Amino acid sequence: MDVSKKLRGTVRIQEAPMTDVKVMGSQESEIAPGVWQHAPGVVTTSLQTALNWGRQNSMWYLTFGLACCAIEMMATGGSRYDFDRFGMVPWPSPRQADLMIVSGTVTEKMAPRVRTLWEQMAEPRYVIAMGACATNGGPYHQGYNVVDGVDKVIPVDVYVPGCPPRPEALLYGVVQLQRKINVAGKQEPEKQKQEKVESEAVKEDV
Amino acid sequence: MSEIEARRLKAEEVGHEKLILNLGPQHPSTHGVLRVITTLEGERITEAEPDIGFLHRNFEKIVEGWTWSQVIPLTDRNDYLANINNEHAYVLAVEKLAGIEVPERAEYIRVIMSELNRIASHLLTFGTFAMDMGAFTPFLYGFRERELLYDIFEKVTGARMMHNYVRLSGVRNDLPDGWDKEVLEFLDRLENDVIPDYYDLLIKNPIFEARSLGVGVLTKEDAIAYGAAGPILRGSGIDWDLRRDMPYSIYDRFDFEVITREEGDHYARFMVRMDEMIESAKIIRQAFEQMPEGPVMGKVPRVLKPEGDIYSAVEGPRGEIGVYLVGDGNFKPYRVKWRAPSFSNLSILPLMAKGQFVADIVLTIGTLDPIFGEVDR
Amino acid sequence: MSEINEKVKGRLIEQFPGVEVSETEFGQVEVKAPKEIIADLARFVREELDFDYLTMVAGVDYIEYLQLVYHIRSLKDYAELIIKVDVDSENAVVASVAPIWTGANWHEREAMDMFGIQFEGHPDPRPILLPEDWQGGHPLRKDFIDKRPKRERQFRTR
Repeated sequence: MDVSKKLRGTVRIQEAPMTDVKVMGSQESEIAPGVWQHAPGVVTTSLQTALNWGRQNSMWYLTFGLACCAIEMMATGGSRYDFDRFGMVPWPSPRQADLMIVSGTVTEKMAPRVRTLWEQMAEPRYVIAMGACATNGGPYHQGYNVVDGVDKVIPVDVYVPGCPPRPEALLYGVVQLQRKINVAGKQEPEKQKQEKVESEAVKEDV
Repeated sequence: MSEIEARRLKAEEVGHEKLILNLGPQHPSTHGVLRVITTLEGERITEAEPDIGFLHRNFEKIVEGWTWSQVIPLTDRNDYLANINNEHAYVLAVEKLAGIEVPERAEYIRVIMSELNRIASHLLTFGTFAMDMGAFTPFLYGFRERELLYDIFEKVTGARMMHNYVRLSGVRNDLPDGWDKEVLEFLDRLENDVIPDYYDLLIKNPIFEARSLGVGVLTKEDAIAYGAAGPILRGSGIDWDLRRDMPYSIYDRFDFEVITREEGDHYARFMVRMDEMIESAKIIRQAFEQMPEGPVMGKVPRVLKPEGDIYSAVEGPRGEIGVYLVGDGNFKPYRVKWRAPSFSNLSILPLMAKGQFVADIVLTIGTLDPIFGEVDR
Repeated sequence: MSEINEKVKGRLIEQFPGVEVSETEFGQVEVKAPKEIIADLARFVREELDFDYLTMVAGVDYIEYLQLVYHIRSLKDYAELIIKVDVDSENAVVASVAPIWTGANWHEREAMDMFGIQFEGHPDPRPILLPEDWQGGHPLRKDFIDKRPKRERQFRTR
């Protein structure tokens, strides 16, 4: 049962009582007892869980360095911090990339290009705003040519603060994104749902 | 006229023999946000036109609203691979303008940190140049040594990259105990293990030689006419280094060689950088031997309102980092002009790319080593 | 060092009687020239006095007038020269030095962007740093106003 603790989400391993083969099954799709006896090695899970598991563990990121943070992004991909542990591979084309790490200041001249690159990425796509400049303009926010944060141009999933953020901070941001992907498409807990409804009601009142 | 229409017309004008190819601004080997519009005839480039300004962050305008010492952290971010050199350039200019004295020990610390930063910058250039050539592994080796340097910097300044360490009239804090031993260990490792490693790994490789020897030649005359700086100038056979020829700070007290190569090709520029690392190590060793005890901060006037104008320059990893300051007797600088070496270096690209293969323009950008924080400022 | 500066000063005064020539406290020769003679002055300095390495062209806005500052080095004689040229703010036109020092090309394009100075005889007068469709004026002039809507300040509330 050690393995099951390491696996996340709703995937877990059930031990077969009669044979040595271990069979996985999820709570949502509990198959009738006995079936697995005739089909050893079958893994059952919900489709959403499997997709999320795949997505969160192979995020290919676009090699897209904008400014100073790009150097820290490269350091994170380098030998000491090793992005590859998370299944993250630098990928030069936006067509196959899943994740865009906006690492630096976005200017008025660059903003349409960032938007185009984001549009070229296939769904599902994720964006990390790395550093103060990509979050809200940072030290350059007074500039006449600087966009106050990349979220004015494209939707952002995770913001990583710092100027530039340390590689550990970027790794933490990536882990947060993995958590976000992991719960995507699943049923929301009742409590959160309730809060959401309430907040929307408040907005309507205003 | 729509953009597509305009492109069609341009294509008709160019004809069927030629092809317009757009590189960037997102391209894995343009070292940032450079766009180059190339016109090809077969595999040869007939015209290359760099399009810059994608990282124009208005440094020169923003600092007009800040006080003299508030500008220092922002200079870090101009050339983000040569942070201490940038700070040094700016601080030196303000000190000259306001007539501020710097303690002896602080000068030595500045020199040591600047030279370490030069090594760090050249290590990254080594890695990215190999990556431009298609070899990914040297990039990881370059970063292996950079991480050690980051540790060394972190112990003194508390930051990996953006140090904000050099202050008006000195440096922020003294060196920690035992730090010099660590640096000397690192230098031994660099000279005895790392650089021989790099030779075995990359430089003796026949593919490396085939792609860099005799490619992208820049003549002496062109290098001077375009105002090329640093390794590009010295790689074309011009014996010029501000540290020796117009010494600033305390560089006249050290004994080191200025590396020059006559060929002016990719290989020459690359090797100038490799050899400069060893010369920097020499300077650091001498500085540790000569370094006196004493304070690291001098006296700064409480009201800093310098007047007049000054051009002052230091030799950064990419060449002459110049600062032109105008003070009008106020708390704030009236004008700060940043003379970026990469800006001048990149302006040679159209000349060098002409007649090259498409595959080689990537290497040309690699040896010019532009950093877009300072090209666009 | 100062011998060369004396020589340069002497030659300049001899050739151009109208210009102000002085030496700064940092050992640089400084020339204040009217804008009409800048092309001649540049050619003379480049060819006769061996000032071959142009490091920068900077514009400064002094509100009543604009000033262009050229900093030139002589790699042979280890000397530095600063040329200052005053330009009218309204009608800012000056002769280009790009035919003399090729490296001035991009520096002058930058000054064109930032201060709206027109360079006569420039080989390639196009904007360089600002966006292609920039309408906001010349940013480094002192009367420049950022026309974009003001951003609301974000406060953190607990």
